[in-house]
Amino acid sequence: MGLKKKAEPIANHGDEFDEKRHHPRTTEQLVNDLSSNDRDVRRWAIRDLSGQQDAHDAFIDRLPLEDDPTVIEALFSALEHDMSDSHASQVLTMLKSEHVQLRNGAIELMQQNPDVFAANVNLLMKDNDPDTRIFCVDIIGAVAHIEALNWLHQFALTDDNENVVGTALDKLAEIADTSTLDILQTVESRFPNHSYIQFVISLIRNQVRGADE
Amino acid sequence: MKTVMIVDDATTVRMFHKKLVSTPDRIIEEAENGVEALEKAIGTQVDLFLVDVNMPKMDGYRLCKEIRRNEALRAVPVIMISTESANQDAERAYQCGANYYMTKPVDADMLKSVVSAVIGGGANE
Repeated sequence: MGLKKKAEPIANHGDEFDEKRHHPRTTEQLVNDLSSNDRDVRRWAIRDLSGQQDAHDAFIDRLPLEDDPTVIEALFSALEHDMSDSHASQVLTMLKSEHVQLRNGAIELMQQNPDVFAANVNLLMKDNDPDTRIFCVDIIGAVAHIEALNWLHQFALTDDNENVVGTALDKLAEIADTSTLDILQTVESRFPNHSYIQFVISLIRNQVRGADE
Repeated sequence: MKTVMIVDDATTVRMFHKKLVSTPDRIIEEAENGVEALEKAIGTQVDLFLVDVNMPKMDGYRLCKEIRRNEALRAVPVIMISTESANQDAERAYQCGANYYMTKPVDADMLKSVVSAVIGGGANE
């Protein structure tokens, strides 16, 4: 935390912003600025700390306390790169947050870090909260990962919650291939009276067979 | 003609709900999230919103609040549909201005009946 932050040239956003930026500052001062009452100061601190991996702890600590949507957005942007395993675990706990922006920010961050997400997917699959598992499926649907199809098959075949399975099938409707046809009969028999699941299974079959012809 | 706007980030859920509530006397509009729903609804005659709770950009609770704040839309009924079945979630939906709260998986006949009761037409006519 004792690193000196270089004063980097940035776009001129006017005297008022410049005044609030208080540069040059040490990393420690910038971290303190994350708790400033002035959101512009907090935004400047995030911007000036971006790229410093040792600031990620401070960003993650700040997220649940932050109430300004633009600052929350800036915090998530600053966390996009070089995410460590421990930071990933902390971000994943935000999937359980009641705060929509935090939850959606965590989802987007995982979508941008498919390998980090992949390392945690098995834990998420076993989470007790079906809503967390639904968010996991949402992330799988958006990550370009070689295992995405297999993960969705696993959810559809093994999850006990009909809404989790329904969400997995919704994602499969976009990326299913002929290997999906093999699992659909089993999924169909698990939820024989579930009209939405039966609807999507029929849709996937038609899509895959249509694409195969 | 009555217009029903279905708001859900899941494409197949929108397709399924559209299949359930479509009748010759209804126009069905679709939106992927609250932001898109508001953009489409303003300047359009919407008679009913069918709104999912968990969506990116703007979730169902916030959309419901925005609808109630908007002079042109505030009287439009909102049916919220959620995977969350806890009482507190239903309470939150009603606090945000929802008229009805249904949990997923929705009972197809129930959804048809509720929509018909709210805007007329469909199965109950």
